[in-house]
Amino acid sequence: MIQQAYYAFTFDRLDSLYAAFRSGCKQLIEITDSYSPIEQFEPGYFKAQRLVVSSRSAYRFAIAEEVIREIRIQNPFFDDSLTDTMLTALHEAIANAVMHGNLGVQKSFTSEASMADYYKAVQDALAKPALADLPVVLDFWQEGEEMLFFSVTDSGKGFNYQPYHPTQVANASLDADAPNPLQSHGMGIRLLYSLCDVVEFSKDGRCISLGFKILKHPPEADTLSRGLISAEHRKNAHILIVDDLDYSRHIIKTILLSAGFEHIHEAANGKEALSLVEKHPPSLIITDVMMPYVDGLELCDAIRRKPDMVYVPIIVQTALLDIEERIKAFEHGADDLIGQPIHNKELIARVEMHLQRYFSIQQLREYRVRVEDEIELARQMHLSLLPTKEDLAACQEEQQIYVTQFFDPSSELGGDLWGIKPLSPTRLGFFICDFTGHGVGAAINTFRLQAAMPSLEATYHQPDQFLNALNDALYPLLSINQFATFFYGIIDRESGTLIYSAAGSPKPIHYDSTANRWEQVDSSGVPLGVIANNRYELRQIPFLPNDTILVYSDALIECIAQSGSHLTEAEIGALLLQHAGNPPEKMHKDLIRSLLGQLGLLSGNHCPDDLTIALLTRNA
Amino acid sequence: MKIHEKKTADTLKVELSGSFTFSDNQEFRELLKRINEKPDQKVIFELSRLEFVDSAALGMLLLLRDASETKGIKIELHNPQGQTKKMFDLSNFSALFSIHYDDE
Repeated sequence: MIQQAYYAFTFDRLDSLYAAFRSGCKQLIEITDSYSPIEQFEPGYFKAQRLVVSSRSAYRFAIAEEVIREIRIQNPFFDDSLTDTMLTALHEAIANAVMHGNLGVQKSFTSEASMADYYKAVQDALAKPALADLPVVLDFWQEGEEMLFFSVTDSGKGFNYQPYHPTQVANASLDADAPNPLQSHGMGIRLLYSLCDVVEFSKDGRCISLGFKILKHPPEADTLSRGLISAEHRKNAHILIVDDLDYSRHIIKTILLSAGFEHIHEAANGKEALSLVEKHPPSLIITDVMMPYVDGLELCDAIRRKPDMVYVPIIVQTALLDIEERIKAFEHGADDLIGQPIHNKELIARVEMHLQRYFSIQQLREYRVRVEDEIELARQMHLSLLPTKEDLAACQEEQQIYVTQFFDPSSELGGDLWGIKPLSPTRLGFFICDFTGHGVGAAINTFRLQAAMPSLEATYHQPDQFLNALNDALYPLLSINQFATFFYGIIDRESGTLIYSAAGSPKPIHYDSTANRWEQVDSSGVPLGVIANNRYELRQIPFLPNDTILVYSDALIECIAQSGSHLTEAEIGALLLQHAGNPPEKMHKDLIRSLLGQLGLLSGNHCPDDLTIALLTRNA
Repeated sequence: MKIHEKKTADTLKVELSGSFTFSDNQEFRELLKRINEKPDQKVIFELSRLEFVDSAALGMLLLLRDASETKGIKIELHNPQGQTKKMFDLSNFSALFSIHYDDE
């Protein structure tokens, strides 16, 4: 940052003057002049600034407007109604300094001198370089929170000013013919007394200081705020201001504090900002563009690369006229722009609007994370309902049936459940159930089913009675459009049969090892929970050594296969046949792999619905 | 799914076509509401162009059945084909609905 710099410019190019101020210059000197500053700055509320210009340049008067403009930029709570008053006073003071002080034109513009004579005298003096090059020093600074001062110092001979009394000033008339109580003062000075809150002379009359009460107390927070965010969010918001000009940061900070924000962090460049965001994760960032080390656009890039800061609003301060700069800011990830000079109400409106969006997104994200955590817990609970490895191993041991299960719960919760019921050393019961719908409701129904089953244990040996009882238990619990498809079978080694009852579950596929063919098992039946007192049919098929039964949830035939269509029962049967010759371990593994491959689920993809596949093969 | 309604004197003919899944929930419930507003009418669902139903769709049809039982509305399902017919057969819908085929 440039602390003390002389910036060379010409008054013919006022844009260079703006540029000088913007880049942090404290002192400016016209390129054709060669004057040095004559004294140090007064420390003030905002930085005191000084312009040293020649009589020739000061006479162009545009300088007064530049001074006012600069004050306007630096003061967030500037009262615009004072602009004209200050401008008039400053014009008058500069004119006095140039014409009476430096150029020595003593005639004042009164009724006895014509305006033409007066200006001729000024033009003649300006034609003499010795006079025209004399410096005029303009200083402006702030004292306390309320007073703004200008001083205009000329290089002339000074004049013997008289002390004044406030009542004299009050009584002084601007009418040129009226008696003048301030003998040493011309009419212009009387004008200044009427415009300014403080008028003081120093340096033998060469310096006039004009004071204005300009700063209102910062507006109450509730007049600045549009109330878009809650008091709690306002209290908790961390706002990071990134700007290499400390007065610029100060202005923004002052506005934010006055609007009730409490956590304001400051960084002088993008590099500082990036280390600061680690310590105080910001809720919003306001950044300048031109800064050393890491500029505003690079900062936007870096922030957007941080996964946890993708949504942090970034407001970029730009020159509003430069459309390319503005577009560039958006391309680098800025959410909004704010033009300089900063206006307090506009800044707060933008900050609140973006914080509202940020906090809403954050709340949604937190909610989503919480729900995801809860769903994950529920999924784990759902998984715990399934047979364990030990349960499956016991089937092989006891009932001589090799069982393999594949269960892929959807990202949401689902209504699939399957299980085994070892009934005796020669009988193994098993079921597969699918409740309508997905999500929490369907999952809760699987828990209802699990809870209802133990009380029905007496019916485990008779599939039809088991389904009848289950229907009676579920019918009052389920709403009209909810139901469960169900299949319950018992593999009986002694009789060599599979006896079963079904309630509309997807048709199991039976591999008949004797004939080396597959067949669909009739699983039709009104789903559970649809009609009261429904009675289910008991069916049976032969089930001999080396026979296999495949049960599955509807996801297997409804999930769109890689080929773009649904997998059909015939395709599943054909795959079963293809792997049937192998020992059960290999056959189960390969078949499940083939099925998942067909559906395109091998590369970590998931079916949108729960997918359950279970294979049971009788040992030889 | 597309729902096309055609009204005659005392019969409402509703043609369903395409895939009938959970995502049709909202639209089907609105249809159901309209049907429920006119008790004692006959509603024929033409299903020959309905290509796919999932279990949620069966659930919605069960809501329809409930309406027919409680409001005295006569519901007929006509010409289920392909996967729709398979799902109806599997769930024994013939025990729950009056199902008709044009060629019978």
